[in-house]
Amino acid sequence: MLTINLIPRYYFERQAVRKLMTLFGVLLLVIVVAMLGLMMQVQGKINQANEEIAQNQANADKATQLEQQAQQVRQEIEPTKQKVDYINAVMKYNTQYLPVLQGLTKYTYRNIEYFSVTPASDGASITIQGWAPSIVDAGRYLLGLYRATNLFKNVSSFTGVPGYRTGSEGGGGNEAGNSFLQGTRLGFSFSATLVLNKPITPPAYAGPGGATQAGEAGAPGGIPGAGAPPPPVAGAGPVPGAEPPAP
Amino acid sequence: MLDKLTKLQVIIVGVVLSLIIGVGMFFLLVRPRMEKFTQVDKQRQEVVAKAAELPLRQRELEQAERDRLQAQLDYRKYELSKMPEISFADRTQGMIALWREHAEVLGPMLENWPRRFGVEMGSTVSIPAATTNPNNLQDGLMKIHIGSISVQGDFYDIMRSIEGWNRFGRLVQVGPVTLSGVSPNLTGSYDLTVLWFPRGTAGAQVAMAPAAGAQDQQAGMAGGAPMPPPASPMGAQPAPVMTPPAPQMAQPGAPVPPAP
Repeated sequence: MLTINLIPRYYFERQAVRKLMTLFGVLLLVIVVAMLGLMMQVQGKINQANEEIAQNQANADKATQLEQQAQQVRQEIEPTKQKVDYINAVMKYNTQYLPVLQGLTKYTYRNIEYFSVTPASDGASITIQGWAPSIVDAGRYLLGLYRATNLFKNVSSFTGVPGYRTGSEGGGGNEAGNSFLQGTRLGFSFSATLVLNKPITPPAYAGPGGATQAGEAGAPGGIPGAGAPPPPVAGAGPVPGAEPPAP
Repeated sequence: MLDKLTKLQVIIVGVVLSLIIGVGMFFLLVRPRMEKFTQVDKQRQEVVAKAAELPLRQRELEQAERDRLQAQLDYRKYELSKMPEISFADRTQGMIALWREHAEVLGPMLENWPRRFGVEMGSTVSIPAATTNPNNLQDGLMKIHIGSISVQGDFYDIMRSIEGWNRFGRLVQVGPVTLSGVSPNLTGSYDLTVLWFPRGTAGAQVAMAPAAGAQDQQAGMAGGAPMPPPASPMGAQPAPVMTPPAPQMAQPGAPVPPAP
């Protein structure tokens, strides 16, 4: 049987167009709904975050306040701490030379005699004026100083060792050296400069106000009799450059 | 009109319309909220983190309070044991107390202290006079430079005496120690500086008449002593100054000329 479709083509075309339009309408609706849903979801998150902020804001403010209070307290005590630190530093500085001097005695050869031990003004070294009865003793003494690495970085100079008819090495000659050569008296004076491992410098006050010199320049002495010059030091030993003790 | 649309046209229009509406809604409605959420979430994280620090901050504040107390105690200990009780809150009274400290208190203390350690003072102690201008007094560190002193004794006594300055009734800075002499009769020489902090803060400046020196200078300008020549311009010779002859003063101990 032959079937003839008498329905015109445009009818199917219109049906397809209607279906497509319906499809796109639904698609648009889905897009709109999805966008609105996404917007509401994000808005919900924003509201949730705001609630969380509101809940924690009081504690956060209190924490900030406490932090500021602690900072203020630390600023308030800073001058006092600076004073205490300075006082401690001064007291520590006062005793810093003692271990050096006491340690020096341990590394000093027994036949060596000292005239003076003088720290440098910058606190970086000490200078020893002394007397050695012989070259061998001076050598042993110097080797002992080399071993004092816990106290001294190095022996920067050691002068006074005599040469042959040339006085002393580095010192330009001295009477002791010459007399040693002439055989009139044994021994010679020497000078040793030892560089400290760590310079000993006085502490500086970092606090407010700085330092004020309490006295007035040129003012008379405060205590009675204080203006008199100091008497000569009684009982003091030989001074540098003086005659060494007779062996 | 719908009858004239083809499938292709509907598809194109539908796709374009969907894209425009989808993208438009995203950029107009969703994206601003997402940006706001990012911002709010960052703020939330900060606030939550800050709030979580609360116990830590409480402990820090307690620690700071303890530190303050400790610092005050430490300083009070030094204040009682090593500082004179002098305050410049009233500058004039503080200045008088400072004079007394310089002239009467500090000297004997310094002179007697080394004897406790078996050494003898080899020099006298001299202390400069305190300032006579109360407005020169400051809050900060005060230094009284005593100068070099020497003590005599054996090596260990001198070492102990130097160490002993840390137990002295004032804060003292001991300079580098020079040892001289032959053991056991050694001489230790060192600089001493007394350091102290005034109690409290300095008070208001004292209103006072011009200092004596300034008055003398003003009197000199008025005709007492000869005035210095005025500053001359560059290259010009200073103008000669006529000075009246000074009256002859009899020197103490000089023979007195006979009266006419």
